[in-house]
Amino acid sequence: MADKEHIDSFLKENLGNWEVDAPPDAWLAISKGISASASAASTAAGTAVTKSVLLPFAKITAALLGIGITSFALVTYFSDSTPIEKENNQPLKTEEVLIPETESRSESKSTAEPTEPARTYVKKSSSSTKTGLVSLNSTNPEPDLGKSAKPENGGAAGIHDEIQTKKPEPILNTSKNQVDKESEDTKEEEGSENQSGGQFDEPKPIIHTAFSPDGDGVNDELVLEMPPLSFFRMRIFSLKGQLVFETDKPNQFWKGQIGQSGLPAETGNYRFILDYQVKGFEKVRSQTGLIFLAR
Amino acid sequence: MNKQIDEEIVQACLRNEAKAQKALYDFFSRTMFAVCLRYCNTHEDAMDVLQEGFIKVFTRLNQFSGKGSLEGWMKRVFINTALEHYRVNKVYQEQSDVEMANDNPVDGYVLEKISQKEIFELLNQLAPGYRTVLNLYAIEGYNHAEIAEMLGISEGTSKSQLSRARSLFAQAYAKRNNIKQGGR
Repeated sequence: MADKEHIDSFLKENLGNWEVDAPPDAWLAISKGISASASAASTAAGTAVTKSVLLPFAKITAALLGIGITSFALVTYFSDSTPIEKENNQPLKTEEVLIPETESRSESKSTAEPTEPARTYVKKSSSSTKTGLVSLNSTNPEPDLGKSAKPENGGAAGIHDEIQTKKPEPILNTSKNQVDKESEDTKEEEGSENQSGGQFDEPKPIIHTAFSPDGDGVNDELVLEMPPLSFFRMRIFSLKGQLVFETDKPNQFWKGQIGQSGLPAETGNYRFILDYQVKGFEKVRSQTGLIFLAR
Repeated sequence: MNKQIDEEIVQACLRNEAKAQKALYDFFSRTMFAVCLRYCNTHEDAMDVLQEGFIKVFTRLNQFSGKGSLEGWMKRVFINTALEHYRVNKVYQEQSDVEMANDNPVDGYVLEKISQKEIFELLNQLAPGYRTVLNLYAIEGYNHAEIAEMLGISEGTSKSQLSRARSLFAQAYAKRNNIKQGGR
């Protein structure tokens, strides 16, 4: 016994596989705890799901929107020439605002007239939208779009190119805006969750440990002041171990009677065991102590 | 030596099936409660840690890598839960062992039958810091570096506490045997 290894192996042999029956009511508390934390986890998972579903969804809608507009532009271009001129004026007008250079503005004005250059412009712009959409439909659309459009914009060789690259941008921006909005929403949700979840200390119950159930209307009940709870159980025992009171309702107070019999409990000390779980907290807590009953 | 639980039960627990969770609890609760008792000062604390530990086990089961045994992983969860429970009180740093100071020297003698519970009680009457180090080193088999990290103490402290804990345990054991022999 004196040498070190002997002590270590002695302990390991004897206590390494030691087993003790767990208290019988432990499982109840644990299962409550699991379901409480599982529901918390499922709400978290819910936000994750909305995130993961909505983000691609926004991308897809953006892509579909883009395709719609392209096909609309293509159809309008390839259909009869007379209505095209009118139809095309509309998108061009919006572009006038976007284009910063005065040169291009004059150019777009000229395109407003039903002339040859106007036609080539429309054609090019629609085709460029198409290429933009191809990249949009490819593997990772969301970040690519803005980038792929903008460098072209900066290195614009000619006025037509300038206009071309401008055209897809509104589409891309809307898609980006949608995505941004989405991520902001989820961020807000996460933020509020963090606030409700972790930042505050768990409130503690207040137990008034002495009372006088003499019917004088003053301090006749054993009053507990509990925070909002998801689980509650109060048991009161006499010091001999007899269960005198049990409840699972936080607002049901002991009036100093023994069980259902209605017999008055004697003056003296009683032991209470209070199990509770505060709403929004994981842990089922157990508190015990003495109550003094005076008649 | 470790108990093996059916893989299907573990999988069902991962799907949060209540029956499987109960089965896993029934399978391991006795072992884990013993672990809790060894690391806790009181029975009430051990019950708290048992609850907290099992809730952790079920909510973090997906983090179990599958390396090593599930039982080993669970033990670690429970040990860490228990240590966390006392971390606030800083019980591991300062020790007092006045009550053990004047004991008879330890004689070498043959180990006689002694129940696990009695050994546990001997171990449990050591000051918490000694008990914990002895538990971690002798029974769980952690090394001093690991123990130092787990308890937030230096390796030197871990070593000195271990040797002190061993001699205190040996004294307590001898004392118990002397009393028993004297009583016969």
